[in-house]
Amino acid sequence: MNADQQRRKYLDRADNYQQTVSALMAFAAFVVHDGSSQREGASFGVGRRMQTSATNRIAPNTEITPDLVSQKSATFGIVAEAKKSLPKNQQTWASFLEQLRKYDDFLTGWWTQDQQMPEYNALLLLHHSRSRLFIQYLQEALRTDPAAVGPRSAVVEFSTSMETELYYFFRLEYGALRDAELHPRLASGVQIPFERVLTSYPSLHYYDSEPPTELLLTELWSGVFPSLLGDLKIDEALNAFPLRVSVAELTLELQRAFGSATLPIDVRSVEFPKQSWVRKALDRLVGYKYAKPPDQGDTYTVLYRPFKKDVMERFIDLALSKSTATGNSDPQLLLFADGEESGA
Amino acid sequence: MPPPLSLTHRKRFAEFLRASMGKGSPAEILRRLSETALPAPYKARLKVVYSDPSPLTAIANLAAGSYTVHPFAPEATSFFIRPLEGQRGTTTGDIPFTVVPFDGIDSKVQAVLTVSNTPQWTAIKRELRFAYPRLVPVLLSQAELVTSAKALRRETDHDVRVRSFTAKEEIATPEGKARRSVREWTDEELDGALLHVSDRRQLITSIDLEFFPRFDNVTHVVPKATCKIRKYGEVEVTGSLSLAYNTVAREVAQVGFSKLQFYSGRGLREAHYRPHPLAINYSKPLFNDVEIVRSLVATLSRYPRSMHAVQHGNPYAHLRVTDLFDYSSFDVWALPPGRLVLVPGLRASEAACERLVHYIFDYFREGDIANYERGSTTS
Repeated sequence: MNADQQRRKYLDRADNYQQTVSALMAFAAFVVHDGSSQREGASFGVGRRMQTSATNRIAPNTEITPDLVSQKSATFGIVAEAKKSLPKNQQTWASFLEQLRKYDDFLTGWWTQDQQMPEYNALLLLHHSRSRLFIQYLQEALRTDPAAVGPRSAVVEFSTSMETELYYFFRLEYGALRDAELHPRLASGVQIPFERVLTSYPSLHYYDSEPPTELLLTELWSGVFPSLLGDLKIDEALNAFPLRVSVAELTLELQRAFGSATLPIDVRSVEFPKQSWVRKALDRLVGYKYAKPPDQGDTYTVLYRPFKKDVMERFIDLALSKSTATGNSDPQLLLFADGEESGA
Repeated sequence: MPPPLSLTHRKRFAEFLRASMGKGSPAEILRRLSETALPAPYKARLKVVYSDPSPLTAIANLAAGSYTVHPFAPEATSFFIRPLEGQRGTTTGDIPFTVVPFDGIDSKVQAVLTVSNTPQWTAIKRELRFAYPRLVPVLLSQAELVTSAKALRRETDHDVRVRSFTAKEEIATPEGKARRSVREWTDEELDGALLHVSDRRQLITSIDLEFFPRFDNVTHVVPKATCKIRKYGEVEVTGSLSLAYNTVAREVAQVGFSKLQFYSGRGLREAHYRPHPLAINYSKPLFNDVEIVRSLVATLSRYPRSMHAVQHGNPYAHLRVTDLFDYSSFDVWALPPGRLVLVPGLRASEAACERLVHYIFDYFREGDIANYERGSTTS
């Protein structure tokens, strides 16, 4: 794979992540809105903490955090996991099927009096470029084990479409929704205008899944660090602003501005971005000599200087050159250990 | 046209100006200058500026740390520029100017007023630029320039006519697209002239207005004042300064104040993490055409004094733009059919909002700016 292809792959991963965030919010809008306003008793959470039942086939009495928990009313809700891309190696797909099986359960944690939901569906939201292949895989799995897929499981494909405006398009490709209103609509395909997502949550950039580090670094370098410079003077010797940042404070700021705190929250909500993601990004900066590691505690010193080049491309180039310098002939293996490929 | 002043007269006139602007309240200085006959090439010139809490404070702070800008006295509202010896592109001698408020308009908007020739005015503007982004120029869009001109025609007791305007238009050259300035002289109605501008995709950069006294529906043949309004919030006056100040400059100040207030408080941290995005709406579909989306991405990638990251470039565009003057940042979305959404980041000053919007208007296309909120979309 040449450098351009590798760079393209990084960019695709960043784009996939952002599109997954938007797709989740668009699908949540489909469930909780009736087209003009939010339905009565409707609610949604991204990465909400839910409890499996004692009879769960995969993980009984366990806490799980589906990408999306979306409640249409006090009688119907959907838990969903989104995948904009899937690994090329189909042997790894078993884990996604297992995850779907785990979610196909009478979970506890809904916005109802007893936190139970009488009727629900467990969905996999897949990009349309992979949905058919995955369904073939799922049907193969069903032939060997009829209980491999739960009775309320479904697969929904999504894609973006540009007509007169930008839409997210969702269509039910496998299974049936247990809701008489939503099922026919999803079976024939629904379009959710992207602007409905953007007007509602214009600064949501993350969900409960780790973003590509280059994407997080771009956020930090182009928005967060600059906003913290204040009256800080440039260190002429370093040719950089020596900016001290703590992992905890930085994480909190990201959550408030671009993460979990931009959404409705309650005791079951999870927090994202997570400290571990931020620490990983700062460690990456240390590796690039754009930061000094903490002497003690969690406070790094970022050696901040603006880039002339596109910030994301700069971090991608750094990642590529670092992997070349470490002697890894195929940086993909090092950096994309899960072997993900673009779904688009 | 009177002959140019001799060197001796020029020096004496400079001394007179220094004395006129060195003492007294802003109102007294304004009155004094209004009563002064101005020999060519001197003109009364003013620039409407914005700052929180006031431009006067920003300029006093600038003077406190400057080798070239000095107050006439502590707490004075007048200043002078004494160019450093050997400083490139400057004139000799002190260049006085004063900071004048507008009655009934918030003190965040004031005018920098002087009587000067063109090189002296250039020197003042150059020094004031050092106070950016604390001191923000009022940048007028084409629509605002035209609306202001129309408002003046309605609101004054003078007959206001558009004498000429200067515009930029794109031309094709063997090396690619270039811009040239054109000056149009017009006796025709403003609306007709504007239609002509729109047809040729010209961008107005200044408008010359003439104020003719009118009595009993009969108009004088000699204008009482001639004003050139530039899109940088500058007004150049020939004739009655007080008339120009109370009409043209006041209109620019009102427009500028409304606009910069509209841009203020949008940074996420300042707004307690509640986003306040903006939209530039275009009346015609633009972003269904990939070539136009690409040209927007290329234009924003060339935004001066900025850092950028293209998050998505095709078929829709999503970029992150960081202003390197004050480190404000914005997410910019180009969404079909014709909307640009600007989502302010953690920090987003009014100066940075204005600069970015004006750059987009100048180098991409001018549109209508509005809050971007639910219900504002066409869907």
